[in-house]
Amino acid sequence: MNDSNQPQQLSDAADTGRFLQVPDVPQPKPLPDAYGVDRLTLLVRDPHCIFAFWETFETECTLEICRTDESGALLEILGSHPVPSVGSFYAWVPVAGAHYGARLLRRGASALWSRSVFTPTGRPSDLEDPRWMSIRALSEWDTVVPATGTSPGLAARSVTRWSEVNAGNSFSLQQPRRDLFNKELPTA
Amino acid sequence: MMTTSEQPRGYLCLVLHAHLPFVRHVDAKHRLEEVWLHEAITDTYLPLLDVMNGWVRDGVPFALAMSVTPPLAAMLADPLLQERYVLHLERSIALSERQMHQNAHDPRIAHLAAMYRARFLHAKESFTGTYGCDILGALRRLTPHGLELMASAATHGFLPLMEPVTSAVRAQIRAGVEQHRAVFGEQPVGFWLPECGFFPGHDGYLVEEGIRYTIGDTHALMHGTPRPRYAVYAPVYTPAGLAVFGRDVESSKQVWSASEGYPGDYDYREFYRDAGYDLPWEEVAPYLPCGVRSDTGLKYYRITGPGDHKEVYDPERAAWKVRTHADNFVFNRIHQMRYIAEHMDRAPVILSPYDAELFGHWWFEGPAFLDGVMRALSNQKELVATTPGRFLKRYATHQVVDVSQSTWGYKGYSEVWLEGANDWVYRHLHEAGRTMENLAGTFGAEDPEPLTRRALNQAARELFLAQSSDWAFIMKTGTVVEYAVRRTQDHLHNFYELAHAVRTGEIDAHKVAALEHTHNLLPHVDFRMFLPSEGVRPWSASLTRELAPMATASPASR
Repeated sequence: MNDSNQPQQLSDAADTGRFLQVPDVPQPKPLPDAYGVDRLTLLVRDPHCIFAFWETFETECTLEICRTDESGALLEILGSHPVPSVGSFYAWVPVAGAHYGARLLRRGASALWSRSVFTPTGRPSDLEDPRWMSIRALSEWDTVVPATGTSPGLAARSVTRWSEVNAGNSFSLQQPRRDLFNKELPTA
Repeated sequence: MMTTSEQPRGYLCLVLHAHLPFVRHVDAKHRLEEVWLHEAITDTYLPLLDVMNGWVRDGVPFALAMSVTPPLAAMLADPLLQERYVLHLERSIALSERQMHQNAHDPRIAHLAAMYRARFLHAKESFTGTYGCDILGALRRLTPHGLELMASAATHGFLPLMEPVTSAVRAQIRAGVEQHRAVFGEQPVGFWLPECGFFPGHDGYLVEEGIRYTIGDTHALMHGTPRPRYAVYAPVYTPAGLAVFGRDVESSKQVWSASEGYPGDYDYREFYRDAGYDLPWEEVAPYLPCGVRSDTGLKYYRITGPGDHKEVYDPERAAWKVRTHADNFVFNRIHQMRYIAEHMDRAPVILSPYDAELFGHWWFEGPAFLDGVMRALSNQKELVATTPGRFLKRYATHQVVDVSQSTWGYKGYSEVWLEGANDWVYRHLHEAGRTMENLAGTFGAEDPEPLTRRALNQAARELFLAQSSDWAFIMKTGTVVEYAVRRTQDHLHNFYELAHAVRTGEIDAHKVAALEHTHNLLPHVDFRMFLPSEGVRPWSASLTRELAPMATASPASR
């Protein structure tokens, strides 16, 4: 587990003092309670906590917190809670490093699903990859023979990735941007 | 590991993150929030410039990475705030002169008042004379000498909790990078993730903007998959190709920790005892234009101990102590590096990131500490100062790891920015993000007429400002909660007002101009950076399932 708690104590205390009290702050204008949309959102807070917030047109709903697979398919319902049409909920989840989802069951309407989220593992990985490639090698994988100098799993991932790059389906390393990998960093 | 005279045995990488929220209030001449900026300029930014220019003057080889966020850069470059800063300095000079005379019977206090007077006069001379009111330019001129400037997000938005609206995440990154190019005239190599908030997938957005590296907290790497072979003592690459350096706990703790860190030494200046609170109100009121007690920068006491009793600050003793601490820091890093190097087949890098404002503002002696550290490093060749960019240029081959979602701060995840006091903001921020995305989709295909474009660009600025992580942080810490709530709500109201005007075609040119004048950061922002990210797919999909578990423990775990 990280050791950032202790080192941060001074920072937190210091930052608290940074923000001075301001006199005669006018009353802020309130924001709407809801926006008239049908939506269930899930955020990851930490390895064992996810946060759901929603709004829907149905007045009586049941919120279900679920374990899912990566595609969002339901694996297990972890909890079921009657909730109002607009609200939020913190759910403590038992397993870190797992996929979770949420759905709102509504009378007379189809269930409203959140997207699936993945919680951090919160611990060192059991997996090792004793060899690795350089980023230059990554950038050249569409021209050199792939699956060298790395683990089979990583190779498979990279081959898939670079075939997508070449097909123009990847956002991050499209052809014009690939020069970035081979560009020399500025001389210090 | 073999060492040659040409090759150091290890590297130390100091990273400073300079940030303040955008607290420019055009409508009010005196606002307490602006004091945050004034204090940071006097206490941190000018002293750091003096220290770095001292290294250049004395031929001390140095390497230091520093991020300057767009809100801070905008305020530093703003003529109105520059003018107000000089007025603030003049009040401080006048108060310190008055204090010198009033404390003539107490030579120790009078001596400190004279020290502060000299300090404020020097700040004024440096700011208006040496640096020509252009702190950003002064930083830029240091880049050929060893300063590596990093970009950061547009308004310090906390990206992990913006994840459901990916266009907003990308816009924060893109606007931050573009602002860096505009301000510093260079493509940034590194990017400071606000609050060290790493979210798997955002690495792809950074690479998309030409970013080569970022900084993560220790567990960003240590909880990565596969397990990082060299722990945090070498960067890793994410599958998207972004290098991530991990924070070293040991060196961080020595500086950050309230109980074990140097800044808590009893000889150092006490931050929380300020003349603004100690002096009779009639004496100090003329120098506090906001009409309430606040810090004046005149702090006469040293930490002394854990209790309320405080003794008078002794600058000479503190100066001796800070030299000792700087030498001790370097001594410890050399021994730490030697130990780590025994377990590695390459030169380790120890990366120590800190808030820049720690040095000088919270820790008065902090700039002198940095000065001492860099000078001590220059006196030996075993451990060499570097920057992440320099290190990557020298060592290009690193392990590929799925970096873990993580932040720095309390508990290491998102709890500071997502808990009962601040969780309400995300419904509104996400909805506004989607609205901005829709507006960009509707009006971005063709070049809208100038007033519409200005309204859309200002809407983007208002949304960016609402997204600042500072507001959620303040709500959590419970200090000026009403201010943070108001800033969030006001920016969202401004955003929706502009969005409605654009959609109905009833744009009030005066309203747009007023907001442009008031919230004038990111002058080159283009609303189309919120265009829906069709086809965008983050690349840090987990490697977990594709790697076989290893029976043996890694070097990092031994």
